[in-house]
Amino acid sequence: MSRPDAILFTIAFAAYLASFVSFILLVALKKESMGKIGVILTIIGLLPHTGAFVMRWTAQGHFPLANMYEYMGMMAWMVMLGLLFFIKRFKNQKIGVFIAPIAVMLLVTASLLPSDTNAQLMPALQSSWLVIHVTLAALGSGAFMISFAASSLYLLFTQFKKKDQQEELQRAEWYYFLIFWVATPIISAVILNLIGLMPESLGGHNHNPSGVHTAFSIGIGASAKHWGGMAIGMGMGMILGAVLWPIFHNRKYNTEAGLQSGGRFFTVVVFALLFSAVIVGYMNKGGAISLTPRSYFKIFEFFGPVLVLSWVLTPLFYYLLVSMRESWIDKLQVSRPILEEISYSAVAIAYPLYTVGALFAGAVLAEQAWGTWWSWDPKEVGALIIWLFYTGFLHARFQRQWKGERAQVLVVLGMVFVFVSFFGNYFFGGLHSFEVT
Amino acid sequence: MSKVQEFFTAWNNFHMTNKTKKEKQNASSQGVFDWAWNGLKSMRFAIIILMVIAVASIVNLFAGEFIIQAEGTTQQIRATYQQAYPDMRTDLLMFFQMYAPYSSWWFTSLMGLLLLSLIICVIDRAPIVWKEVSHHQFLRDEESFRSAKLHTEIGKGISKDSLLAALKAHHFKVGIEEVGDKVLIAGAKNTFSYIGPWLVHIGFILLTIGGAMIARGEFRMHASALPGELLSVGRTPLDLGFNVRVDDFQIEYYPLNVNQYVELSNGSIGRIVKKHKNNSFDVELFSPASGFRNDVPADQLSNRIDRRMGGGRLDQANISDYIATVTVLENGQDVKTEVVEVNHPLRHRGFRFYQSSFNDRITDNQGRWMTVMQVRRDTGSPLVWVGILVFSVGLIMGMYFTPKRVFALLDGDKMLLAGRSKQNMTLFEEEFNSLIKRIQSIKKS
Repeated sequence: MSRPDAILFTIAFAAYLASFVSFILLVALKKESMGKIGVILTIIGLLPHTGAFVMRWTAQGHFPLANMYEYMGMMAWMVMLGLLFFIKRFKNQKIGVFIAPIAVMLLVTASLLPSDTNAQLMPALQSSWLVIHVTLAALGSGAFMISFAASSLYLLFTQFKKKDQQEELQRAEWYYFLIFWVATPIISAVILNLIGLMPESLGGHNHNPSGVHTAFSIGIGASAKHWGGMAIGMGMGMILGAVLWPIFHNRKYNTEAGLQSGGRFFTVVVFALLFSAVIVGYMNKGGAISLTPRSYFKIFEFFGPVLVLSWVLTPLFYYLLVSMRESWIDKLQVSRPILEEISYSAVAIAYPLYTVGALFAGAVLAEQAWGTWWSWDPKEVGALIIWLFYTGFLHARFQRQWKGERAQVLVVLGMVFVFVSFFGNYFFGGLHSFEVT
Repeated sequence: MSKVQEFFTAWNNFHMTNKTKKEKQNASSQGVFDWAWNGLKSMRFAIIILMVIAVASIVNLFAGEFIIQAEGTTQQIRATYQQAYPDMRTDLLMFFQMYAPYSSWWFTSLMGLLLLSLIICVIDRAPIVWKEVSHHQFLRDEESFRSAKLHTEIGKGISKDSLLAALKAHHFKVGIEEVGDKVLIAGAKNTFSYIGPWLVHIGFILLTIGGAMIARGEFRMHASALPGELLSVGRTPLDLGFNVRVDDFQIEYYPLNVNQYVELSNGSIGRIVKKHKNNSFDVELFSPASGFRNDVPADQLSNRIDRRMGGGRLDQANISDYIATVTVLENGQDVKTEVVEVNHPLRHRGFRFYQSSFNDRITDNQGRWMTVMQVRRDTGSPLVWVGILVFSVGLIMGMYFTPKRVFALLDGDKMLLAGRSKQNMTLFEEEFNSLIKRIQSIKKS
């Protein structure tokens, strides 16, 4: 990689990583100077990042937001800019410790995507509406990422008021963990296989002989198909468990405690899923897993391993985050109301950007180019789902005063939709699949 | 930090009282109409319907992927399904119109319900929004001052004028009311922001209605012509009360660059892998034989290739623009001549002509291709434009401006001050505190 923009990009990545480390040191060592260094490193990172952007612009001759690599880079840029904004607004440098890693993670994920410069845009995309469309959508998605960071940290917090309640809940928590990590997944896997919702019985057409079981056939042998179905079912069951826990727990204990423990399990599952998705993405890039092109089987070929891996990773993450809660989060000393306000502010910044950019400018672009405002293209549906979701969140918050865990769970879930929609064109194709190999 | 937590408890208390008031109102209302009205306008209903539409969209997205594609009349679709799914699944798919799920009866009804709920909300909220924007609000008794999110009591010797001066310096619009010997003062800022959410809902209603009008009564067809001919469907010239003649149709290509498919002067096909500074190129050949040719000068390469691969032209990605020059004819007379490009449709008498695609198998004697245009007319598009505009303005007003209210009660020597803001409590707290400081500094001077 000797392209000048790639070098600048690497410098920016290194600076962001360094700023993340210095924010960690700020929290761990409680040295004010580390916070200042973190802020300076963030600014130092933003400069080459912007430089890489300008360089790609001049090299390509069009606004450099025409593929997913550039889009994701823009999201990371927005996250770091947002970090500076929130540090200034709340006068608290410690928030860098959970916002900076989001940018680092985004840049790691961006490195999975093809980064070739391409001077050619299809005629329909040569429009200034494209610039508005993609820029605002990327900035909006970046701000949604910030709200995700704040909300997930909020959910990992617990604030039990009474000591005995806390102890009882911790005992119950492991008990419920077993129910929702072992029992629900097994039951759902059995049921899903019994009613035939697993991929091998999904329908007669376009059946791929190498099928979904390729990912699992290594070392398992002839029963790979069956075990693959079971394992995927377990992963699905875990997600179901993550949704069921708060509801179920809610009935048994008091609302606050139930929501808190359920919300934490939910966040851990989301982290495990995202982490596994990145790992499986790297496995795909490295050739360990191959996805069948132009077939819906690749949905299973990708998400099958992701679900299985996330099921394995969940207890590990749970242990890490629960033990982290004791030491790290206490040191962080960013109160839950502040986290909630950061999360809400980020959504309030992102929502208009995303609405105008992703939906309106996109619709206008489509009207100018093809004469259709809306064509239910998979990515359009994805954007609509994200929009509906955050619309629901804002209404719940404004009018019904949904606060605390319930609102934060919505924000975390909304971020999952942002990610799924971002990578959706790898699986569904459609009008936005111009950069898919 | 603790102060922030205080606001939040105060904020909770404030809304708690609001909620109980609402519940009382709901309980007292009677009759089926009231029940339906209150149900449809309720936030619970709106949130549920939004979530149901989101879930339905996901289901439809997967349906498009997993259910086999079928086209034609309903009988033909049924026949296709019956071959693939020889059981009751066919009936289910047909009943839920899963061959076109987004225009199916159930999805349309969901959108209709959302629209109805929105219209009711907008009507219901209008007087409330108007009151918030145009009327000054006063807090009249000490109790309501104490329950406000931010409140304080400033000591003796504060005159009405010093308070008014401070409010004015902070750009608050001020209203005064005198009740007996008490003076009530209300300051308001950014109250226009209350219209924002209301406008957003109006915009969404317009958008949805416009979209529905487009979906129901749209004129859409493809017409094609060689340069010099009238735009026609099949062989019949398209008659819309006027005719359109294509004068010229030109294809423009990008300059030679990396990643392009190119044809060498000897007829072999390859892909440019590297561009040198002296305008020569390294080409990776793949037809008729694979191999490499380095430092090929530009004049021996062409990125216009008259060959096909799969469904389209091999050089499709090298094309930068399709430019058609067209003339509108009314009663045989030339009215106007315009250039139609991909992002620049021709608009005439409500019809829009989009440069849609081309047919390179039919050419005129100069080798120019046949252009294919999409002709559309609908009544909903202007409404969609207005909807988008209103929605965006409303969003900016509602989300990027925060309405703030300050209340004061002067009773002899005592002055109570309270503040209320819908969002951004941290920022508002700072402003409130600086307002207090200013009042006190005016008092001293």
